[in-house]
Amino acid sequence: MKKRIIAYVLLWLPVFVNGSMASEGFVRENLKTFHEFRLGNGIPVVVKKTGQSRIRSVCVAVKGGKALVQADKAGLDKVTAKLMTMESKKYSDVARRALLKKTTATISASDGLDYTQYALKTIDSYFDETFDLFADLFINPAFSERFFNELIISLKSAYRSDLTDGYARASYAVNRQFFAGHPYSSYLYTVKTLEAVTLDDVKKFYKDNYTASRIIVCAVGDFDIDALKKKLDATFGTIGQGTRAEEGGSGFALSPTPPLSLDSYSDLKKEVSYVRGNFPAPGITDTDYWALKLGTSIISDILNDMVRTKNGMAYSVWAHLYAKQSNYGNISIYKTNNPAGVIKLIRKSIDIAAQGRCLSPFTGNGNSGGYVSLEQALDFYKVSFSTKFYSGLQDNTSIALKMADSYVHTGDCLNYLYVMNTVGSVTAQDVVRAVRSYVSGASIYWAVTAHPETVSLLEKDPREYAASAQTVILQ
Amino acid sequence: MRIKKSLTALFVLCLCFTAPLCALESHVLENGLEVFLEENHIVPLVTIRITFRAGAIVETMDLNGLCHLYEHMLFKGNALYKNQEQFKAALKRMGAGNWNGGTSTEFVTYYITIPSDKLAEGLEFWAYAVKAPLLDGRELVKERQVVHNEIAGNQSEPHYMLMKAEQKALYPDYWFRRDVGGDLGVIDTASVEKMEYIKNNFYVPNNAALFISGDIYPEAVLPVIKKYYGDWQKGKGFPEIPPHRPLKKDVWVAVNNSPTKGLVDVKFSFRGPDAGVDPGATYGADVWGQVMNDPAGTFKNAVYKKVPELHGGTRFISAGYYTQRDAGLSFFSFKLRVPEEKGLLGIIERLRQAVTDEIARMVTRQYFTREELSSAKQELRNHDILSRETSDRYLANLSFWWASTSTDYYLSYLDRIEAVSGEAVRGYVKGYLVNRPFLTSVWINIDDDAKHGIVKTIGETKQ
Repeated sequence: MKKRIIAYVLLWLPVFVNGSMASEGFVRENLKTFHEFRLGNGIPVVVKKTGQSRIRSVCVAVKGGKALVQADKAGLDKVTAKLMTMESKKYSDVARRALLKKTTATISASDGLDYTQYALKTIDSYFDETFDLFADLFINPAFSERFFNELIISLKSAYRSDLTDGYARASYAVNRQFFAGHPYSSYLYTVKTLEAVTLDDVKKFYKDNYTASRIIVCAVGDFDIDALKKKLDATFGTIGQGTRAEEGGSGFALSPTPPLSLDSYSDLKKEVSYVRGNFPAPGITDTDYWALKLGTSIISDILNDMVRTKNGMAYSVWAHLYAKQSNYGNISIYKTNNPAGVIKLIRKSIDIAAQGRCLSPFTGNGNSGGYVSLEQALDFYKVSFSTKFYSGLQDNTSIALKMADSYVHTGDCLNYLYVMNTVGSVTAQDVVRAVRSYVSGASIYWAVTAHPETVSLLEKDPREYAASAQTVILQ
Repeated sequence: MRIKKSLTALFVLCLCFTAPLCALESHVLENGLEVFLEENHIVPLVTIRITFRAGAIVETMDLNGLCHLYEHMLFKGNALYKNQEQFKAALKRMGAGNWNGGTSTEFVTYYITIPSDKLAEGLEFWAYAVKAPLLDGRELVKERQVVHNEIAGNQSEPHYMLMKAEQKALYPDYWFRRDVGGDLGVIDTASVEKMEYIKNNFYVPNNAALFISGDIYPEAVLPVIKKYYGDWQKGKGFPEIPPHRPLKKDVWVAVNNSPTKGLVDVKFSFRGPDAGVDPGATYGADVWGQVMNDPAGTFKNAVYKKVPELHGGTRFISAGYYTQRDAGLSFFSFKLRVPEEKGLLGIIERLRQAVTDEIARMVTRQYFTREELSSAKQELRNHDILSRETSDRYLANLSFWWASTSTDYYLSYLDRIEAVSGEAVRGYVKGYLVNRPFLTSVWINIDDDAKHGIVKTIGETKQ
């Protein structure tokens, strides 16, 4: 059987070798399409000129993220960003909506852990009109009392709606413990923190933080580079310098023996629970990052096989690694009828990966299945990864966002181009080391959201998850 | 064979220069399977999607939820991959990045994205899955629990109660044809025989379409498709289904589990047009929906003037038409601030009156201006441009339209929209909105309801 497996791997190896070569070609040819310059106030601009569609995308990233917000005013950055998509000095709310409807363009804002991003997506023939709106919303936001009050009502409603979602509750419960004492704790806004935010806070937050030193502009589309530069200089180029942005994130203040967080939610049916665990992880510039990225993919496959395929114990299950300045990952069980039993399968799955084994990709070719050593299967994971990677580069907005994210987390917009080269060099030993260091050896923070009867059982006996349990009140 | 070009060549070829989406090709195999091919070399990937005209639309009450369960069972092994482990191992060997299945009211769809040099394997992979699934009894028992967990989770969400009440009010005879998740009792007792019934009746080539997009060369792909799908045995095709009756009178539903305190959601829903019955009216309905949502337009401003209690001015007013073969729906939705004093029901009544007054005015010639209609048509063309940015998204969109309308409907859509006149829009309004009974649904927070007694009053006076 082993011979057959080796033959099969050899059959595939040329494909991945091909993939690596292709990656070099991909980088080389892509590099020709980038244009970089700075605006008068120092804001860096990176443009990828491409005619692959009629869509033009501009993304403006403002560095700082949750570190700029005090936890007792959590939501302040979100309120500021959302208000900046509503009305400006030149464009009333109605005029904004009418223009966006006419042009079918979208202007969105998203407050992330490390940065806030503004994005314009527009068809080329409307670019002049929609860019003018986009820029004015950013540079001259109106911050009116009326929209501020309405937005606070809407966000409070959205928060209450989130609390009717079992998985959102489990995420909230675990993040509250995991982010405690860290700047990311201001990610967790509540009705109380939203009510503490004032319009003056918003205006001050904008004045202090929406400054040239924090901003980068990324654009993707069939632009006339000189014309775009002129437009950007006349708009974003007029933003004041401000203070220099902080670099880097701090570590989480974690306990070696975290208790299990239990969230009792009586509106859930008794047979449905949600489980989520967080663990600290290396950042994207760390040499272990891509090894752990592949490692979480391998753990996901084993989890899926054990929890869902073999035992029908949950609707969905996965492990995921983020790419944040203070980085972390999670393991999630979505809709399980057995939260007490599922944790044993999670631990078993992690152990298998930590032993350097993974689900066999050779099952069905005369082989009986089960697990094989990671050396035999790693290239298949790399090919799957490359499929996902290139899938995410098909539209201009995704590329612009990837460039901005790359800049914030690595200091270079173009770093995303080299991901496949880096992944290609990861070895099975790298993956095993990363899984052992960051997952199997970690004290994972767990939370379970479930019906009160299920919670009561876990409260009495949390030992599969942790030495102790604590109740979390979400309101 | 051109399709076997190496990854290296393709990566260099596809790199980010002008590569507009190529034209869509469509074919029909002898067994009735429709095939859509879209060539696009932006990335060296291919997406294969296979869609069936199935889902809740073809279910009876005792089968409600079984198309969804069957969708799951397709991943549990077939004549080529004998169990789910083998099935997933094959996905891994192909380098699949994204793969999944989904069930909706009017379609069931499966898709996979793989490196383009694995296209033939991908086509063979889905061919065995759809033609020869194992439907093993022990696996069925396990998957029933998985689907039970999924549906029970959905039923725990507050919106589920409102949705269920609306389905029963709008489609009193065949409400289950709108319930994709289905009945837990039906799912818990599903048998292999019932799975075979679903397969033999709905998973047949003359009720299916294969969509392939990305880094392909159509002339090379078609023979491979014929090789793997040409022997698929034809079945009865899409079944005759009894139409939903029109509403005989106005109906109301009120549910008091909204998580949103201080705001109440109000929606007015009108039946039709059904694309399977009156496709001609759907074009006018789409143009109408675009005009309705103009923030500076007549409708929103007239309603807001009469109902200043609307939250967010005109921002949360929306109206539109949802295309469905069996249960097309025209709707108006609003968010109202809950007043401190009693009188919420009066505001809702005033809102209803404001909307019905506007509907009555819509049949006058001056209501929809030439500019508004022209802009609406341009916006629909813009949506088409946006939907074509990536080929897999484009084909997902096409798959939806294929299931709920027809190939001809989709391919001639923009021409038909261009031809929509003011008279056609007014025709739709007269046929489906003016003096038609409709559903009023109210979703309110329990604390607000305690003060205003909406659920109780509506239950006592509006049924």
